[in-house]
Amino acid sequence: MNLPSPDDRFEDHSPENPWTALKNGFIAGTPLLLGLIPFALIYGASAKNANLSFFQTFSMSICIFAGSAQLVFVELWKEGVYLIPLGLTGLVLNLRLLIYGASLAPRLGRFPSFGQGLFFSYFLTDESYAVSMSQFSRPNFAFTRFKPVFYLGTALPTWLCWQSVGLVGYLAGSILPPNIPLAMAVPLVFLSLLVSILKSQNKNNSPRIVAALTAGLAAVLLKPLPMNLGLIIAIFLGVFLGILYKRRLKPKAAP
Amino acid sequence: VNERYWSALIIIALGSLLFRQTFLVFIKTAKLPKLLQEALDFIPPAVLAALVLPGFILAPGSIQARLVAGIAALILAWVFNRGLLTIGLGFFLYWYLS
Repeated sequence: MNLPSPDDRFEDHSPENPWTALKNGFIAGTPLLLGLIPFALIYGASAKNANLSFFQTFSMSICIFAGSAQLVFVELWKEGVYLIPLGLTGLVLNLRLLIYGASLAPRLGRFPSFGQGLFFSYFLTDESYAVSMSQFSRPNFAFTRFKPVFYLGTALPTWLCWQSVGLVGYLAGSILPPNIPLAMAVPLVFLSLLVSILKSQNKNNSPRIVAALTAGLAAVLLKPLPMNLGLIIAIFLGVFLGILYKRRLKPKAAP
Repeated sequence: VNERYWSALIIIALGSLLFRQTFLVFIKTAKLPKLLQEALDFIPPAVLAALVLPGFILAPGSIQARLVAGIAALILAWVFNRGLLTIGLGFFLYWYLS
């Protein structure tokens, strides 16, 4: 790709300019920060609370760059969960990035180069996926030549906010008085995320509720299992029963 | 202890990067198997519930405070579906009761 020098971007505002595409993507991705800030604060503060070092906390934000997986990581790390269930839970939670990639790829078109494709992919998150998909499907979307750059633009506010506000949270975590029950904040975050997932779609949500109830109850009952394997088994059981329940519903529901 | 941290971090980071790149860079036309597509719909609620319920029932400290705060937060979340409201009021209630 031939990026013009930074000076040129003040002269050319047409959709034929990749800097304009980047800027417009950035603007489109900014409103989401409002929802991201509290999670970034809680991530930083709970990492501090779990006695992670500054370096550990920020290595995770840079390397994993996925909010829910990082919060789950910190929470399980604090409980002393073993490597296998710890790694598996994070991976399973991020499997959705596969789906985002599969759904975004045909809309995105070709990356300017293979190497840039590898690099741009790193910025795929819930946020950049949602914003890019909704912008690409607008009838007056102008940057058809520079969709990958536009997508990168949508991801940058999220990236900058996640790194910097996480830092603020980490510092805040170290000055909070010790009687503030910070350990309770993370389950509450998960609860609010869970409910918003369960309520998010107007189609029938009962299979997801079945999956959630199964996994939740199984996780409580299987807690005594060695090596924290109960967590993985509970997740598996929840997903399995959710699928079974959905398949049982289908023949009746179909017109 | 530190080895467990860095191993888990590297596993999740490399795995996630691979998930991100698979369809964006490597196989641009292939489709996901039907079963995996179906399963992906249930993974986030299952993972979150598997963390939330033990978090409220089995964590150390006052169980009454946790349950009251948890149930109140659940109702708030279900009715208003506002993350900050749920987290803020649930947190305050727990802090007040414990």
